[in-house]
Amino acid sequence: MRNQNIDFSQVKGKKVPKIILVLIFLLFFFSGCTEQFSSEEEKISLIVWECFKFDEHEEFLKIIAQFEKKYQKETGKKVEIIAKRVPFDDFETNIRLAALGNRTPDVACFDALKVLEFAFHRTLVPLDTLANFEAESISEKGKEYMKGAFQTNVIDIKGETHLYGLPQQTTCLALFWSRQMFREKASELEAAGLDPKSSPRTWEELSAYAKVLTDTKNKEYGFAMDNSLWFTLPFFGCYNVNYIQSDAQGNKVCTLGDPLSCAALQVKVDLYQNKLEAGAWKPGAISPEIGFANGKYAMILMGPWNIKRYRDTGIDFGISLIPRISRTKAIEIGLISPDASEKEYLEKAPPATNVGGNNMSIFKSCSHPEIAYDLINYISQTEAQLQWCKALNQIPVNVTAAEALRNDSGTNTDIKVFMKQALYSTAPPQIPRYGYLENDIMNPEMELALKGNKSVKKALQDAAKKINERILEPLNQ
Amino acid sequence: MSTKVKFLVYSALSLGALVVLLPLFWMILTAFKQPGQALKFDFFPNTMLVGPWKEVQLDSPDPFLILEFDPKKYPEISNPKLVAVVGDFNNWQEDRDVLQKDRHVWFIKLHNFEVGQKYRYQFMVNGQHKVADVQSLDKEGDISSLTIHSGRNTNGTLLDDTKEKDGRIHFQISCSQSDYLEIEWASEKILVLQEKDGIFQGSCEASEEYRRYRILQARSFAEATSAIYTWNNFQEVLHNKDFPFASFFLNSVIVSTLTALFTVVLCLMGGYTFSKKRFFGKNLLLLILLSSMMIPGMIFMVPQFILVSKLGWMNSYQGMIVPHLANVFGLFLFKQYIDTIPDSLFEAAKLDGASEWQIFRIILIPLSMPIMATLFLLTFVGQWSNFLWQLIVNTPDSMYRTLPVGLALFKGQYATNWELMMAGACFSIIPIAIVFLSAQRFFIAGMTSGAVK
Amino acid sequence: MKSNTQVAFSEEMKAYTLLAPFLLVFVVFLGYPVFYSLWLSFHKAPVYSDWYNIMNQMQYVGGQHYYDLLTNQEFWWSLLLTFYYGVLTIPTTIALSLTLAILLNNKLRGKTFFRSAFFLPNVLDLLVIGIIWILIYSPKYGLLDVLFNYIGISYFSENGFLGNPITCLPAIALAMVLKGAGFGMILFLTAIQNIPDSVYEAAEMDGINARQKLLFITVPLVKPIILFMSITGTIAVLTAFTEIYAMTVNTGGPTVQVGGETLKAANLSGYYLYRNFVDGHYGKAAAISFLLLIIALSISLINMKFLKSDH
Repeated sequence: MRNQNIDFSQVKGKKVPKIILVLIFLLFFFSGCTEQFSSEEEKISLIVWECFKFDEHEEFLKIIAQFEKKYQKETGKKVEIIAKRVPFDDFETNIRLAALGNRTPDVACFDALKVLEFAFHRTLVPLDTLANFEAESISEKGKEYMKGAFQTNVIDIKGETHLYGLPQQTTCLALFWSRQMFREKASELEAAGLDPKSSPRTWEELSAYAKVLTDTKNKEYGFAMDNSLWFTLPFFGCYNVNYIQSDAQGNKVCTLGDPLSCAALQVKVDLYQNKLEAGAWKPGAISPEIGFANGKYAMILMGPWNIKRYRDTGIDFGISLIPRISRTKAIEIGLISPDASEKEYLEKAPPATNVGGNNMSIFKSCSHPEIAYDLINYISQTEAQLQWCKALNQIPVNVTAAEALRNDSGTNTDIKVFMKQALYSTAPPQIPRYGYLENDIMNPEMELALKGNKSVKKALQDAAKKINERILEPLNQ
Repeated sequence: MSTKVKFLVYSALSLGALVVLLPLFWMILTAFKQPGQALKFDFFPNTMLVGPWKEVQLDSPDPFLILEFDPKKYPEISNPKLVAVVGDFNNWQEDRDVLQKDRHVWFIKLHNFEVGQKYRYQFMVNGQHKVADVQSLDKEGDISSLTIHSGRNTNGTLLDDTKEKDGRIHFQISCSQSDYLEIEWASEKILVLQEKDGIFQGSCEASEEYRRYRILQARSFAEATSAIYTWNNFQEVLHNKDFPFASFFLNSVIVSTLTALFTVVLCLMGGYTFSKKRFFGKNLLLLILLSSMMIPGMIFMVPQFILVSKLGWMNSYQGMIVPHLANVFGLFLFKQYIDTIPDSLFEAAKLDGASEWQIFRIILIPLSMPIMATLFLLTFVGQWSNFLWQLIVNTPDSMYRTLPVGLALFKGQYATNWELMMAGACFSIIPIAIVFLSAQRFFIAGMTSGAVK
Repeated sequence: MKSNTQVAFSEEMKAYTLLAPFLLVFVVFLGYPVFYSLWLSFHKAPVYSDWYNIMNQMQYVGGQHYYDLLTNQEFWWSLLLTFYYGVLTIPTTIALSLTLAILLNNKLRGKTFFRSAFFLPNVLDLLVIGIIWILIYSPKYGLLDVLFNYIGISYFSENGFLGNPITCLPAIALAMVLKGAGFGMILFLTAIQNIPDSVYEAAEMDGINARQKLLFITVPLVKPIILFMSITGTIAVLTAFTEIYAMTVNTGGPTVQVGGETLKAANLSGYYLYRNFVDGHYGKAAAISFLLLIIALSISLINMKFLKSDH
């Protein structure tokens, strides 16, 4: 088809750019200086991986420097702590592969819920087996810390319970409510017998508020929520649901689908089905975080990490404890007896929340676990915690630090609310594969229940069946 | 083409271009946003500052108190974000009476007072500093007090004293911060207020429609812009000592350039061989190569990691570059492209006694320039944004960490700092833009310069 | 004078020499991992695997992963979705790319701008692109829904586009076609511009109109590129996960109930593989990828036969 006469003398060849040669040279040049770690002097150094934000990293470095000084003063030995930031994304894959290449750090500070996974895969040193573990027992050590934050580190593997980390930072959810939207609907709220200057205390009250605040014509909604398990834990907590329990043989069984868990999820379903919630949990919808920032959602469950951002943007909002179930409802579903005391009511039907934040653990590749323990213990103690929380406006993990901050008039009121809320946080059940349980089992089933495709009971029972089959059975073997 | 067709073509192209460029616009605008503003949908500076919705108060004998807080009078307080008032009237409850912000001044209107009673109060700024009211004359330490007379009480200039009287609504707003005010109703009707002695006034008939209103204040364009946008994000990215941008950037440039360059060379040689040469096992080999492309790259990560680790290539440029050089996609791309170059050209060259090197130099490279540019660009971009591999082959103390790993540091456990991340992304897109623009020359001009025409 | 066999032999040697560098890297960094993965696909890590020593703890399970997958509804569902997604994206991407290439090959003013504009999404981070499309597609506040409401259709206000199981994949496909068309356009442009003008001139002398020119000259001559795009398109669809990750915020789209199973409406096979991979099921992930390989290979062979038949 193509037949052309070509005169090659007319064709100009292009020179191969010399830059190629230069670059090839460069490659070999640079490959020559691959880092070689030399151990000239006997200085103990510990490598710490952490996923902090920039300001947190700064503060962390200061605390580490104090530890180095203190350690030298007390023992006369010099220790160097090298803290390195690693991305939060793919942290687990990073650790997994680092373990494969035997390059795990000595200490890492990471998402509180990941301790489970790392501990089950035998990468962490049980702290209570260390020579310098000072407390008599794990529960004794636990008295120093906020309950929820500490519990994430106490893990029972094959019947052996050990402590696999210490909390460093804790977060939880609380109720954020838009003062501005409340104020704009002040007369309507007052007409409905509700106080526009305060937030709902119970879920029934929240519904009443949301009903007044929802204005579908202007696309404004009283309440917005996420679907994920982590964001649903406060609901379960409010009904005192403990969805993994041990049976007579000591095997773990998932009990979702029992009346209490159904009632807890029903609260969410009702909020959406009664059109008091924006449908923010749907895939592709505007998330509560963004809708709240844009003045479209009046109440959301949110954590302390967004306080500064929201205040920076000038959003007028308040923070309060997560609603509880009302006394009448608690009596109705049999959580408490009609003559229960206030204390019992608070115990059985608390304004519950979940737990998040960071824990510090020691990896098995660490050659000086005792020093590493001293380090993480120092960071979780009162002095370091106070410094950290004052500088960064965070919730302390340490009970004495929390007490000190609570009595300090200089403590931010927003954080005071969160410190109170954190008292009601509970750790998730101690089973591995939390990510799988959340993303692949619970979230889809709960989504079906919210949409009304499945009854709440059926959805939770299906989830329980899958959890039992896929996670607990291999575990119980 | 008729003008009608041309018009249609242009509008379709423009619409398409607009849609595909939206992410870029968003990226750039977000990079300039003030802290926290990234979550908001506001992109256009609004020169009319919109106040919250209000209701006209009936002129009742109920005494009320307007408290005003002017941060300018408190040199020790910078940048208030939350101002509340605690006092006898709310039992010193800290989160109950929160002031509203009106440009720089904060105010609140309080009700339910008893006439003749003295009330003590404090302002609480940012949820932690408690200060006395500088405007109040009656002070006792850092606690101020006010005695309630009848009717209206205030500690400063009156802000909004709108009343309904004799069947009309009288708007009376004093505002020292603006020289133009409007009233807007839900029906989007607007009333421009007239200024008289620093008080903006206007009135309208009292009807249900006009009871709910909000105030719009004029502000300059510069002020409106700076409320949303800032330059600081770029500075923060560049001058952050925990974020060695220059080193990340340089490493990324080296890794991406070298990978792209070697890939192009290897693929050109391979693609040419597969397209124009006959050799034993050609089809089978091509099939094997192609099938390897059909296995998701993710699967190779673990064995490749083990390999790199055993070779001692952790924390090095080779570790990031070499495993990506065997780009079957590129080889196949070159083969298919070189297939479109007529065989006759190569045969003619061979008849003229050209060596393999001459064929490369005279025919292949000039004619393949566009596709080489394309593959170079694609490989460059691919490596430029390759996060996971570059993360795992570098331990955190490596000096060879690259930009994608660096930018991921802005992503937090719960919240992502979009402003800073996008500012970093804006910097990171510059080399791509440069490579793209220089490659673009080849897509367009390179093709006509060859030997074919 | 060399004999023919000698010439042929030296040609073969030349060919292998030219291929050698590529093959070397290939064998080490792709060939070895392929066999390694094949080995992995017949093994399984124990529940309490020790991550430091995971490769030595792998237990041989034979074809269990393959059997499990082939009897797993979720896997078949993901294949079905992948097929649907492929039907949605591959032909449209090729058609749109070719259209753009033909339009922008003309003496259209501003073609440089449009070429750059359409190519640009290929160099942007998919997560950023995802954010924008999520905003556009979102219910109630999203651009598209607002437009639909304007013309009186409020169907999408309930779930939006990504939250509706029916529109979810087409919505992702649209975003990806618009993103990918720019790359195809460049490929077609390079190929079209390699067509000698003389071919067109000869055709014009024969009195051929524009449509015939496109159908009988341009399309046949860019056939290798079409083949390339359909094969790479197939592979891209079978291994697609970044777009699902970005557009569904790592949820796999809305949940649907099919025959009593709870399934995700955008759980493409590539994403299914990814989820297994991040969950640490390397053996299962490898098995998935080999099943995908078989499918991709058969489709590509059919493609090649089909597009080569009249060469």
